[in-house]
Amino acid sequence: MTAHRGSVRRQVRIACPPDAVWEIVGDAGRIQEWFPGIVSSTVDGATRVIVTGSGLPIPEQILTCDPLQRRFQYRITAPIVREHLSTLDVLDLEDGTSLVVYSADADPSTMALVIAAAAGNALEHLRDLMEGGG
Amino acid sequence: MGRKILLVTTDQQRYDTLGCNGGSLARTPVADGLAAAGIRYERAIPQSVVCMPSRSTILTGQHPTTHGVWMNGVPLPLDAPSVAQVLHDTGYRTALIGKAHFQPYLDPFLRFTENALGRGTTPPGGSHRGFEHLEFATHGAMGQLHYANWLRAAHPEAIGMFYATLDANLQVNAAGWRHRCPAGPRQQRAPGVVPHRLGRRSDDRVARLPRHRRRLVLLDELPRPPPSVGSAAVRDGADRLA
Repeated sequence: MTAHRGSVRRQVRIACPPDAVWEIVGDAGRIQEWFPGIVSSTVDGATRVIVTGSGLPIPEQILTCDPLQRRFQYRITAPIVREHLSTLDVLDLEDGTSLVVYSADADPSTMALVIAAAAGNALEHLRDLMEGGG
Repeated sequence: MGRKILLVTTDQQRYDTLGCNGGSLARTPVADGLAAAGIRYERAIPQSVVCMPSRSTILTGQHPTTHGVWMNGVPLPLDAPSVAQVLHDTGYRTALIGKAHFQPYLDPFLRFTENALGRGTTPPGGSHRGFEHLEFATHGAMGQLHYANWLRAAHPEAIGMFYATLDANLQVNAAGWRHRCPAGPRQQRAPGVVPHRLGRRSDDRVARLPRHRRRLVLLDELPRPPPSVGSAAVRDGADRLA
């Protein structure tokens, strides 16, 4: 942890089994389906390039895509950050519902807020999509 | 239709930079003429010294504690009252041209309406906060708003001439605060560059300087942020949008 590093977390409970949620969020190339503000993505091996609504292409390195833990992790490799790690976990609440947690760590800290705040909106959109309201 | 209304707001401008308010460093004949022919509200006090809260107060007529924009980066709710909406509802044609900044501008995902509207001038539904016509600007050539797009297309040579609003840690205006930031201006010959602190003596001191030294050094002698990170990279990203 440095003075300029920040960590921000957002979460949402979805009334769907975790495997169904993971089917979407665990597929790196489908992020634009549930993350408003991302208009496209291309995946080549462990590299993903997303394009934001403002037209900014952001290259990322996929670090973890684990269907057993239902964990997805990536880093932004563009120089808009000194360092970044985002982690998406789909947790089984064992009652037929899921808790989806998105954590963003970044230096400078402002970028953690920018990313996680957008991800928070995205989680709500994902919930609406999966529960049939979106 | 009643009389026409033109509201001009400036950013980061001290009251005493105008000749009509006693300033002698800059020549401001147009504003001085307006003041001479009109009214100077000498007891008008902004409700915040920070730009987003202050502009939100102008639009809503509310104190920051009511509209909620207590600091830069806090968005003004879309359903906040708007004097433009009141005028629009009574038949005025309304337009907003320039820096609105009622919502954060560091917004690559276009979460905020005004950033998304930057690509056009006519909002969906006919109006936004009561404005029918919108041409948004923000800081220099950053982002995808109207003015930045125009600047990059028409004057690419000027992109690097703007004050770096964000420092390497994406903090706003950090480079301009010498008394708080060790990396502030190296040569502050014009005392007025320390904002909101010195009075009219600022201009008096500048007036005593030799003419060749009467220059505001805030903009042209600020240290540049490190080239590899932060605001420089953000500007690079903005450049790629052009």
